[in-house]
Amino acid sequence: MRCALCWRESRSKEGLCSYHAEAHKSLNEGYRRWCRAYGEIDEGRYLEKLLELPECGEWVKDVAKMELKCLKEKEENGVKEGS
Amino acid sequence: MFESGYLLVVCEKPDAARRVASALGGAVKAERVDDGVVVYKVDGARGRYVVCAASGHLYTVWDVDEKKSGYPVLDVSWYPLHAVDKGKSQVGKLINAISGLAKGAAGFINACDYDVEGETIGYNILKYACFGKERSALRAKFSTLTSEELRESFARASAIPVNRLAEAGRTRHIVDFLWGVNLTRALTEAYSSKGGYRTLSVGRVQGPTLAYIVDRECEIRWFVPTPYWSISALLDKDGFTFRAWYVVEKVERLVEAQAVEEGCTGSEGVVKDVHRQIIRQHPPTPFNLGDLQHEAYRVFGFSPSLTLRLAESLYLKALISYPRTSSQKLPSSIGYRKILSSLQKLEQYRSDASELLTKSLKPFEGKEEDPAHPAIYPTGELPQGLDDRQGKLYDLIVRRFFAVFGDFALRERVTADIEIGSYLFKVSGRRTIEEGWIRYYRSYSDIEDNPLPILQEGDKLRVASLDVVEKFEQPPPRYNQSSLLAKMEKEGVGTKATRAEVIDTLYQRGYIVDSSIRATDLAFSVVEAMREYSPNIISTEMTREIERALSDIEFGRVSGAEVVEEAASHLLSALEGLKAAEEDLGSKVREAAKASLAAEDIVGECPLCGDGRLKVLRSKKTGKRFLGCTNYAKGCRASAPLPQKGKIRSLNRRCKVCGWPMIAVILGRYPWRMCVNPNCSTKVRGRKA
Repeated sequence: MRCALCWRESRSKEGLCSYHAEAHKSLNEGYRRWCRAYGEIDEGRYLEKLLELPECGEWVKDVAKMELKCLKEKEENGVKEGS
Repeated sequence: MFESGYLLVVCEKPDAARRVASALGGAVKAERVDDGVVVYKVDGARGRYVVCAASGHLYTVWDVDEKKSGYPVLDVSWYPLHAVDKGKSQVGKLINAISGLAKGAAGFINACDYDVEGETIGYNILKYACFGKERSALRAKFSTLTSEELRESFARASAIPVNRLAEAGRTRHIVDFLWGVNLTRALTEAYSSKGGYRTLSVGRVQGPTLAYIVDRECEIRWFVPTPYWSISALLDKDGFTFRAWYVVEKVERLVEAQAVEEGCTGSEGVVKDVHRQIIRQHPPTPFNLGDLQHEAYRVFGFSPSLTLRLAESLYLKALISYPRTSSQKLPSSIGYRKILSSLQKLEQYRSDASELLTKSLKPFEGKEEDPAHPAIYPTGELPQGLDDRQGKLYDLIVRRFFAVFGDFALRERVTADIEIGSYLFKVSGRRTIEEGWIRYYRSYSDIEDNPLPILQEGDKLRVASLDVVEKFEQPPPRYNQSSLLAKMEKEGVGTKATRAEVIDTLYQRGYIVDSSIRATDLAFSVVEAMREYSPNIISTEMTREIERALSDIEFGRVSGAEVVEEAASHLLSALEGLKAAEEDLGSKVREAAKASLAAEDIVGECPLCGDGRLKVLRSKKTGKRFLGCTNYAKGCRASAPLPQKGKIRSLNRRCKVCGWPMIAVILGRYPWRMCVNPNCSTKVRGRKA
């Protein structure tokens, strides 16, 4: 199976290659550090901010984009279910 | 043909041959022998000399079976270069000419550069082209091509019956050939196992070097910047403003930063402690090749391979000493005063050289030594006809030479603790008290002063502003050619003479791109595959071990045959791993190669749809290239014209004015950078102008 984000073979349960899986791990660890730094921060805001930062790694940005898309889809579905 | 009974002198390059001939006698006669090869005839102290030149290596290691595919290849021998590379027909002419001259020679002198490569070139010519004269030939050893030193070296020349330097060089060529041919064939055959063909190479030094770049690239691509806050205060003492920094350099939490800000607001600064220190700053050490390459990169942006080429051209003009040296030492035998007196004749060096000549001269030296050559120094010959880049490098070498004889510089460092509210800030300033060596190296030194006002304990300071700035941790920097060279030096892979060439090869093979070095997908896959199936190939430890063994040959601790045997056994076990995984390895590398090629066509994200990417495409109608969005099928119509000549490469950044991707167009020596947006205001302005 292909990685959800590139041409490489998927090796993780999230359907990511080893490089994007490691980036996913970094993204999660980073969120904990950001929560500590800012007191609290919304996950969506964290992902959006990372995408704006030139320092942020390319593979982390790939995963952040994917996560942000999922998050928005969840929100939209939640709104639809609510209405 | 010449009358027999002469001494045949073998040089490494034609320029060196001309200089050697002029040094040996007054009337040099250039003559064409077989196939138009030029040699020099001159009468000197030992009789008649005929000076001929190679053109680098004339012989190479090759597969005895002469097969073009299949591995392992272990049976190798030395062959004339033109026999294995049809493009080198000139080498055949040179060898014939030298062999013809050897028949009439009464004696032989090897005057190739005195280092491993030079020794190997000379040894092979004497052994193969001169019919086994490698042991009886005399060896002239010199570090500069000045007439005086050349004459002295010829007067002292003696035979080297056991030539360990040549053995080390020849062994290095054999080991590198075995490594290169076998691994390249293993990778290429794996790639081609299911159709398609592409030559993929991995060399003994290339492997670990590529792994350093890939590992750094991973760190960068996995990097999540963590926020922190930096707090500083702009302070004023009697109109002199300076900046002091909160004692915690990186405040990790926003609430802490806010607390400091609140606590400082409305308070004045009070100087709590002042500490003054005088620092003696030693002069720089003389240049060895690595130091010169780093400095030329820092100061001029010259790549290490360019610096080496320029340095060699200066050496061949007899302007500097032999540049392929590890030494940071300048023995007094080079004649400091003679060199300075000569440089004094040049306007730009007159004042500094004259000043140094009034002092007792003792260079500040580094620890590195080289048994064959001193550090790089100007010979004192006066330069003529240098191009811009040669001139820059020459000036750097001369000024460094001056600086190593300078006095220690004296600098004052002042640090002060300043309390604002109940929070402690620190400030630090430096100023030069006595310039010492810096005066000779001022144009290239990066030492700067940042003086402070006179501060005393208890002084009250006005806080002009308090600045709390949100910052983010930075990823590790990408390697550039200079920092990669430094990494290779630190890890002990490659030699001073070959490192720059290895970096060039990685570019040529498509494993790395850009001056701030990025690994391509192909590089990731090759390193990943090697780690999985044959980790020794990219192991620094094994490369270093072989390097150490090769160096041991020079000191007679081990024989070349033993080193080849050991290297071959490591290689065989690595090849077994690759053979067993050929199919899997092939499919991985093939996909990476495809992705790498496809990635080369992508110049950046589409600024219109934000989701697609701008890609180099060709018009079916006109065949011209242009940029189009990968989301064309979904309706995005972003497109842009492209220059039709030159190679297009993404710069991985956006135009600061319009946000469209920036590209480099590589046509000729210097790339041309541009924003791809035809309507970008930068271009509109350009058009109007």
